[in-house]
Amino acid sequence: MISTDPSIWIMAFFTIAITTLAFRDNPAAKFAEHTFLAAQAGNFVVMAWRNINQIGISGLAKGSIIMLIPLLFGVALYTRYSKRYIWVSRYPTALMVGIGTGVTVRGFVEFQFTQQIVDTFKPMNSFNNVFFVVTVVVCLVYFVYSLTPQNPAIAKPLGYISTAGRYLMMMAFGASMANTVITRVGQYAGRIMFLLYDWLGLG
Amino acid sequence: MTSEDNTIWDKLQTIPREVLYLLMIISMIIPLLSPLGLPIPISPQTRTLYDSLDTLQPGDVFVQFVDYSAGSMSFHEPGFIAITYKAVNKGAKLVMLSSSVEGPMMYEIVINKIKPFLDSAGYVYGEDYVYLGYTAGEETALAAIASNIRSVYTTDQYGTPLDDITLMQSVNNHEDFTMLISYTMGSPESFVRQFNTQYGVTTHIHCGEMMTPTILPFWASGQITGLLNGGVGAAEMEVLVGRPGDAVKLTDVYSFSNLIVFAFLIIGNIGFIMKGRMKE
Amino acid sequence: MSTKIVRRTIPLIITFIVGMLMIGEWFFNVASIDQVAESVRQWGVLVSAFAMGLGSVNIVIRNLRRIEKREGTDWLYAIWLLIVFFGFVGIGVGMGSASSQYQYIYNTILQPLSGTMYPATLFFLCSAIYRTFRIRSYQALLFVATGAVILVANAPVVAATFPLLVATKAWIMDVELTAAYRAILIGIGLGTIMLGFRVIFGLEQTHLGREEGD
Repeated sequence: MISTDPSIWIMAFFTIAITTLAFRDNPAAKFAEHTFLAAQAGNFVVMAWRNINQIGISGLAKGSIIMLIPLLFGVALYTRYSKRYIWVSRYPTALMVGIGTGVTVRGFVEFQFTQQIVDTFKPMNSFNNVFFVVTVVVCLVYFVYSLTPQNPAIAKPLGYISTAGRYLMMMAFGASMANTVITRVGQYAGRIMFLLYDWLGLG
Repeated sequence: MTSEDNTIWDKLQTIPREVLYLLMIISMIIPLLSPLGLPIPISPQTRTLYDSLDTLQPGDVFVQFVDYSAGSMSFHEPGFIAITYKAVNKGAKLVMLSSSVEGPMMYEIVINKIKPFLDSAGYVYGEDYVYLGYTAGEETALAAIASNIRSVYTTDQYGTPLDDITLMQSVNNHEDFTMLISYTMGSPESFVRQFNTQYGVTTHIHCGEMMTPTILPFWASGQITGLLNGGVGAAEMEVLVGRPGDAVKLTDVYSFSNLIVFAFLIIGNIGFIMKGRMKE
Repeated sequence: MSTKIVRRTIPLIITFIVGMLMIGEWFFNVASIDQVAESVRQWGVLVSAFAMGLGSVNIVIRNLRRIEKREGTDWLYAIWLLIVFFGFVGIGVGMGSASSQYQYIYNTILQPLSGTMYPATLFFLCSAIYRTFRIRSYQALLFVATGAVILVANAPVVAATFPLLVATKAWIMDVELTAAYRAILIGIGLGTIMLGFRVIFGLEQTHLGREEGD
């Protein structure tokens, strides 16, 4: 039974309007695009306000004067819209970049090197393990751009290994492409489910 | 265009895109109206997640980052429901929060779907489960949550101070987390870096299939314990917990849609290869 | 104080100090460092919340300009955009993001739009696959063949009929792809660490913008 709920009809309209964008530009799609942009931007502001209120303003109200510093830094971000005072926005930017970079980089060596390299040391007692280790090494050789040995006895085999690495990576990228398609299929199927089940009442 | 340029091989390479799009849409509609109900093999990644959830004891704190958006709701929501069902059956306490801006709204939608089994398990908000809301800051916020959750959350999503919430009185930082999972289409690595690499917290990820290639090496090394691979993984989890739902329906869509894309790939290349041979 | 010191050097020093503080906290188990780092991180979260509004301010400014110009029908869309934007902000901030009113407008307006906008790229993806993935070389053949195996093996109707395909897919994902991406991740990791330290030590200054402002 087709839905009589106006909100379901509005949702169906927006779903179909955005889908038509893939076919060609049209007023409904443009209307939906603008609505999306506005709603998303508004949602960002609402969520941001909640955080600012919860951490900053409530903290200040409870007597934590030091919260004035990040609150002023936050407001200073908006000086980027002033040609004269744009340099003031560098202070909060520097703070965010410093914290973000420090927090990310500090665990990187263990996260993306040590543990990955340790796990690559597999017992060479099966085809899969041998293939795995060889693939990692061969693909890593591909990334060694700075090594250009003059001796052709070394350069030529290194070139072949690097080419083999490229072939193996192309296989991985093909699998990655397929995974991207599968993700988008799954995502869009959710919208089709909504249209069929919630809007048209089928199934 | 001459007759030389208008052979069957040219036509195979120039099918109008509207035809392709309509075929895609039809390939999704058919299985959703007429499910196939085929068996779903369980991947080792999903199996490790399920086995890890099986080790939860009553009272353990299971942290869930509701970080998916409306775009990935079709598979993240069924995965969340299946995993939460399992955790509730094990008697775990649920601390839910979001580091993604659409998370709170996704939570409000999914809570209505999990409320029935929360209620039948006798779960009470504030004592057995809580939702803290959204925090800005991406990886910085995750680092802050790991070291002291109260540095970014002073209240839950509904304005109740954390100290007034029974469950949160004993949850302060990573030491109180038994395990965590992130449902995300963003950067799953940041969760692993901030929780598992630094503090050794058991970390699971439910991400989209397109993120899986970059995450698999971390699952293989044990840094990620359980990994749900998008809609396929969510369907596997639904089967394992005995509650087939929307994700299982999605797998039927894959049956048709994947084959349509495969057909596009082959048809385009047949036209290309045969055209090239003709020129020779 | 020199203009350059105030406008450039001090921000670089801030980046250095907080960056090293975060790294120091990881490696040294000192209570006072942990406390200071926790406070600074809290500041970072708060400033990030302010940063979320930057894009919104940009959108408002640009659309006000469109209304001013009154070109074609563009300005009508701009008016609608501002109405929706301020409607969301007004209800969300005034009544709270947990209110039923805000949930209603989110579920009715933003959820279907957000839920369709990114997934609709499926169509462009399919069009791209059809038109551009041509087997012009052995590398392209490997790319297409592997992609085809994964696509087909993820179709349960095929997986049930050809279990060998499922085993092949599992091998590709668990062995070949994992190994290749591990090498890629190690390479990316090297680059990220180098860039991170360049930013912390002030060798990379792109986050501060152009020098003409100094």
